[in-house]
Amino acid sequence: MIGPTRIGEVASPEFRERETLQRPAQSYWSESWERLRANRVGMFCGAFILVLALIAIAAPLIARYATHTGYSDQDLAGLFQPPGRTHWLGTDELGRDTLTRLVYGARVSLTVGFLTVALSLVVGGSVGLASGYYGGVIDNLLMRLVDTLLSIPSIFLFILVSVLLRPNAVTLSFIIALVAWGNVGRLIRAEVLSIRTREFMIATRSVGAGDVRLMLRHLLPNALPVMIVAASLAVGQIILVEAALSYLGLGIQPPTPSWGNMLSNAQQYFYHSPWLVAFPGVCIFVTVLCTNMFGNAVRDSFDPRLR
Amino acid sequence: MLAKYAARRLLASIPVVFGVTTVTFLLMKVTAGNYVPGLDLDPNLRPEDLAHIRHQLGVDQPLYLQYWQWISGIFLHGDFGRSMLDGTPVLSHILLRLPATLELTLTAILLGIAISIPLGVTGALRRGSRLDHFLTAVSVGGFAVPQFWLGLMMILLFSVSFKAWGLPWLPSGGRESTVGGGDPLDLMVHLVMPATVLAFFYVSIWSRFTRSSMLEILSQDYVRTARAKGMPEGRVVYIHSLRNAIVPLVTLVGLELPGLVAGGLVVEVVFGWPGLGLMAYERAKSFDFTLVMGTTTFVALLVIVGNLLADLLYAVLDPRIRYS
Amino acid sequence: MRLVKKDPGFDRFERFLEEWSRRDFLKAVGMGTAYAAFLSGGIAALEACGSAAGPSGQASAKPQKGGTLIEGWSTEPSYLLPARSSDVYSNIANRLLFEALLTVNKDGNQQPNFAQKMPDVSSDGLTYTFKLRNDIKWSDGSPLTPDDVVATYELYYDPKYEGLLGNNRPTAKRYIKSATSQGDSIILQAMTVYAPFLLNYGVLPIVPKKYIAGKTGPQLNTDEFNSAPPVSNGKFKFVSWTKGDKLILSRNDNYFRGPVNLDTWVYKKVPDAVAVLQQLKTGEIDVGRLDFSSYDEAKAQANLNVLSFSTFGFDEFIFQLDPNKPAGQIFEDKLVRQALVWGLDRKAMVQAAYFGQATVADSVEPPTSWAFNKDVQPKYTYDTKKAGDLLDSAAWKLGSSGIREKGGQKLSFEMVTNADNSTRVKNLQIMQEQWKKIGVDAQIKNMSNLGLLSDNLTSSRQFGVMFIGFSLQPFGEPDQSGLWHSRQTAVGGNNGGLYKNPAVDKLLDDAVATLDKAKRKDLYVQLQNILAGELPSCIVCNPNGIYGVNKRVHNYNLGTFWLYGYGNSPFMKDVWVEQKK
Repeated sequence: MIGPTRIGEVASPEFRERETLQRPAQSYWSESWERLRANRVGMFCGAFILVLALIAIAAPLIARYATHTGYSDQDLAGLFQPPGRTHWLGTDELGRDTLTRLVYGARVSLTVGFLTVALSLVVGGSVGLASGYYGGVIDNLLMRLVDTLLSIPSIFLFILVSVLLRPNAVTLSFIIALVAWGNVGRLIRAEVLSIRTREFMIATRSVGAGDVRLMLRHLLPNALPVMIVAASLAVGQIILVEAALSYLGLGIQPPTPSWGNMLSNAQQYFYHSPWLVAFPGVCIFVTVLCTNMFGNAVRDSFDPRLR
Repeated sequence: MLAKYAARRLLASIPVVFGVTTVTFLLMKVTAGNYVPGLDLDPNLRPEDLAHIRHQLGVDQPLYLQYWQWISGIFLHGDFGRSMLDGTPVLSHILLRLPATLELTLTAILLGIAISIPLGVTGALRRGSRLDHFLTAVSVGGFAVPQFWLGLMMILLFSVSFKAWGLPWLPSGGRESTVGGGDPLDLMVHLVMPATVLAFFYVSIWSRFTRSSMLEILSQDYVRTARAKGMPEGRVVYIHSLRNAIVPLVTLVGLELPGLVAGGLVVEVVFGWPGLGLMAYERAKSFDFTLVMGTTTFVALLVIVGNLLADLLYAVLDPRIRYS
Repeated sequence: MRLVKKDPGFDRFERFLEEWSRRDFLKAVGMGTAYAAFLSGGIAALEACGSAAGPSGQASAKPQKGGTLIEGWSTEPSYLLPARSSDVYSNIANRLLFEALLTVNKDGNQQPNFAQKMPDVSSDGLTYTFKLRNDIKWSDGSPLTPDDVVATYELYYDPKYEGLLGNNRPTAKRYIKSATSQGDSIILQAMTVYAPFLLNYGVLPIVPKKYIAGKTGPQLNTDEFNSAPPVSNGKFKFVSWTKGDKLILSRNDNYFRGPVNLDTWVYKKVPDAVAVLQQLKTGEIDVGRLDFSSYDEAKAQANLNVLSFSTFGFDEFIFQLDPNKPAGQIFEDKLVRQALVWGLDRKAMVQAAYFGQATVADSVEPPTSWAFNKDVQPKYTYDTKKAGDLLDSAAWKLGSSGIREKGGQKLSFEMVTNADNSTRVKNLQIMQEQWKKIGVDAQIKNMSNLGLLSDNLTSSRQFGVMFIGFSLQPFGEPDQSGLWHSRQTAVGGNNGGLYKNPAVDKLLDDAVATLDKAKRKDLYVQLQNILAGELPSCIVCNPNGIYGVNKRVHNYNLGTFWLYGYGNSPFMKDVWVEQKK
């Protein structure tokens, strides 16, 4: 609507009409994006996560060109070195470079975080959509299934499965997602329930749109905001779960580094090498903090009513 | 109406109970299967002996029959199976360790409430001040800090370091002193750190919630009216506003009921707190699957009960819910 | 308007989302990270400033009576019936409850205990006759009779107890023919001349006949006795056992050598090695076994004495030699095994993983053994070139991926150990890295606990290389048939790599079939040389035993021979503690 004004147009009635509009109409999405952009704190956190993800992806490059060592390269003559020139964050109990291991650890944490969330969204989203849309028996069945899953204490399940399978980052994601999709499912279902009574749904239905089409084309986009918010907050919590499992000795196994197992290994050396405990701990803390803040910002941007 | 709602919720719980017991039963079959510890190792046991022992344990029957035995065992006899390591009944282990877990989590919840309310109220009253920002930071931080890390740091500071500096120090773990313990003071001293670590998480959520709840209420018309009528500020805040802010907080606390038993597992491990969580963890590492699954089933049933209670609590506090 | 019921899940989530403040992120983060940094870094700095106060343990010469000794262990006992238990943790407790005909002094020489004197041995070396003292009582005052002794021995060999689990019966059955009593004498018949007979079977803890008679093996497996023995004959008697927490014993005033100084002895279950050190520091436990990494720190504590002594233990990694397994096919070539040992810097490994608290080993016998051959040949040093050459000559050539290949097969295998032992876990990581450099791909897969590792060793045997530790048992007895004899390749035996060498079998059998020590030593020297050349396993090192003992505890004389798992902890008689006011 706003375009370059041409000289002759200034006096035209159409132009005057245009100019009386207070502000350009925008879709819900671009409005939300603008609000998000204006939230400096949130954007900073989002940027941090992005940078962290890039660092994690570029881990092998960093190992090659920045720190010049792999994450499992040992230097048995140089154990427990404090942060210094060759090893910027020091070395651990087997002489491995802490910085390299932190970077690879980021890979694990972020992989588990994002993959689990993605899986939960896909499964939970489908279940929630179907459940909310169809209602009746299907809804009942699916929700009882979710209730069952959520009644079983998840940490017990994780421990049991980890003891048996000794998971890596990907299998761990599946395991956590197995339990996490339940809450997502419930959330989406609630959202769907509130959406489906709106007029546009009834209208679309009356035009003869099929079920799946309705769910995917119309319900899903409207449920998306809730999903995105839930996802951003969940990532942080899942990173904490992975750290706790690794601390219990049940998550990622050495020599593959994860922030959780780095912390767990380092506690016995706390007195002479406290940085080995500090660095992974700070990484976890800051990452989770940022995901939480970002999720919060996203939520605010979608629904400023609740400010 | 409430009774009808309660009945409906109860009915809805029944399939969940079946679902839960089926899942745990299947998991048990998959993990423990026909394994009886130590049996296969004795080279002197003949195949007939093995078959005989298996028959006695009932592991050679069809699956549905075993499931029926499992479920009737639980509801008719309270039999949650036997430990694979020492053959003792799972329920006795559970009942032995449950009080410790409840002690920990209930204390943490009470502590959480006791800290969150003043924190939230202060934050609301002094909105925008440095104190408010500090409290915000603490609560935001509390949500991002790994529980085990916090626990370890507290042990290092309040137990080991304090002792080294000659200050009165807190014990580094356990529920009571090994020698001469058991008195209330001793129990409390051991409870302080684990309960605080657990409460940290609650505080970070509840204090924020109380704060926003209070803010919302304080801006309401009836509060402005009360102030306009000249009611002293203290009464406005503490008697009228707070009372209304507490109600939703209670429902939030009610959310924690289901997680009461399993939620403290990591804290139990860090502090060696002799509860259900620590037991399940150690037995899982020792591959005592029947015990772990029996405990899981028990806890799951408790969760279902807890959810029922939480729903009823909602219904009592918010009558709208009963009518849908 | 119909009220739509809000799904509780969503409602809760909404509330949950309302918690976050958006302002002043930097302040929040600043606070948060400063707070976190303080917690992690600040403490160490402050700790360094503080002076370690604690009781300085001024020893008054006169032992005090009474008091409690608390020992902290990260694994708790499993069974208190000695015949049923297979692990050292159970032995720690049950050796204080039940003593035997013989005991051992701190130099490893056997001494009479319940027996009046050392037994008479028949000329054919098959019959041992003990005379039982008549002043031994059970803790309830009733006398300990030869019937009790005979009943105890029957647990180990008699078919009527078939089905009793634990690893004692399988070997005992092979050596004990019978145990009978005649008056106050007990006559043990051995199946064959067996040099370590007395060392193994003179020290079986005696249990009361009236509690075990009439029960079958399977019944005894789960019997109450395992958790709460009603009477004892040792220095202490049973009080209570809260599983997962603590086991409490109190002084047995009917102990035949007179009551000990301590009132109470407690076995406290402590979460892990880190907690053991923490609780030693705070004084919540008096005695604990230390992890190697804690040695220096423990030595710096003002309230602790650190005991460090050589043991009969040796840590080794075993090669899979079963030709039916792919790893076995790789390792059946001796050159490959030798190359892997040449390619391992064991000195650096010991320094890194054991913090210097172990000595690199060349022989299967520990240096503490009288059969130790210090000139064992061949000896292996760290020589990657030699390793590479050996592998080349064995036709394992470096492939394009950096891993050696032969006939299309990669030099790749799985290594296992138990995940709850941090030293072993470290060892495997070091081995993996070092072998990478010579083109060997070793994968790590850890079993959850020692029990599962033992299962793997004795039955399932799914490993390429297994890292495990053993100790000569009984202490001072050099026989290692349990590890190298071909009959131990049967299920249940410890020869998990399936090493079979008839020459070694003969040496092992001959060396226990004679009581002549000089002759035995000669045979063992030969054995050590063969095993060093063949390398069915590589002995990495002999670790020290490291214990932290609070200074208020006196005469806690753990040592090479006075270690748990063997003997009746004779030093416990003289242990006394300074009592807290």
